[in-house]
Amino acid sequence: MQLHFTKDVLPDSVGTDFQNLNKLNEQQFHHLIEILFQFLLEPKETERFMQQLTEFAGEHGMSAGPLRNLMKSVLLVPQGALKKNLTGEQIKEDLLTLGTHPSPLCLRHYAALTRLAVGQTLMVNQLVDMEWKFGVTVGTSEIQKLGTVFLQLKLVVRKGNSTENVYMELTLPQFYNFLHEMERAKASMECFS
Amino acid sequence: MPCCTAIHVTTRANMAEVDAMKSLSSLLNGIAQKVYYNNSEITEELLKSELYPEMSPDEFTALHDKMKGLLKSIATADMDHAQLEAFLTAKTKKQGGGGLSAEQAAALSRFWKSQRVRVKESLVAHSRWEPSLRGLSWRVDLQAAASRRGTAHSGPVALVELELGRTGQDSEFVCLEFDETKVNQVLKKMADIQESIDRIVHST
Repeated sequence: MQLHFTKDVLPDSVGTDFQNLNKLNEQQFHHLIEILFQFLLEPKETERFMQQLTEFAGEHGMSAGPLRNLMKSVLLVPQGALKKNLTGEQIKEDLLTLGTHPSPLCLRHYAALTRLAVGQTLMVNQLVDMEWKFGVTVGTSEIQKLGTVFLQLKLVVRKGNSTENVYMELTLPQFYNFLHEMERAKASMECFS
Repeated sequence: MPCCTAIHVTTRANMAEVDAMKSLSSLLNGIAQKVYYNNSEITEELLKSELYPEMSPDEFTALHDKMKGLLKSIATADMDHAQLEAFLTAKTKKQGGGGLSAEQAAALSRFWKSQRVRVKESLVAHSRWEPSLRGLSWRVDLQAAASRRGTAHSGPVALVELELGRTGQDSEFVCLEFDETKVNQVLKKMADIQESIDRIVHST
């Protein structure tokens, strides 16, 4: 199968999942697409996404587990397409190759999604190591008495063949926010694995 | 009638005082904008022309510098109410150029009461020499199969975008990719940091 959205070899289950999409009637299909794109627009809302899928499964007499797996396959297309900046035409071709009918609704949603994605950084790097140190600033040349805690982080990041150090300084609230978001990201990954 | 004239004169004098207070308050606000709040549009010339057009340039410079110096002393010491009152009282008792009038002291006191927190925040922000974490967003992507690079990525991958920037500068974005193992490693380090924080900060 020659696909635009991925160069990876897809497992057979993905093909089967897309065929199963065809079994939905138009109303069910539209509802599912709405749920899908709502998640794509707000990718942190994993729990809500899972909840909506469970409700959908209940409403239409399906099992939640297989439906979730089906959606994981379906997600590959828009996620891959966004990473590669695919056009509507290319997505149409991919959906036809996968054996499902490209719906105008999908393409409209995708167009809206790409408009949001423009300007997002595409340079993705690997985190090699993270070092930290923290202390309390008791005074500076600008202000004599102070008592603020600062945390300094050094992220060692691999960019291509070399590594680069990224430094940042966080207040305690910023650190706790960072920690909270990483925990949310982990919870989201657990939903999908 | 003498009575009415007296009242009229007093009212006029009070209005002049009110105007002087307003100008001085505006001057203090203008100095804060320039020195602490990074407002590059405020200049000494602008302040003079807007607030003290009639004053001679030398006289204005003297007033401006005096107020700026006093604000700096107050801000550097981050004076609380008691310290400020003591400081201002000492200044009003001083004779000659270094002294303050009661109205000037009142204007400074009012200014510091309302602006202390904001000025301190600005000073703290300037003491941060590394970029701060202005924002953070993430999403989880799914991988269908092992990546061709050889690193087995056959699971969800978190893409985290960090927005970093120094005070007054544009943001820089760093996008990092984490598989589940990496996320767990980072969370473990953060747990170590949290432990350190608890040990040191909460025990003092």
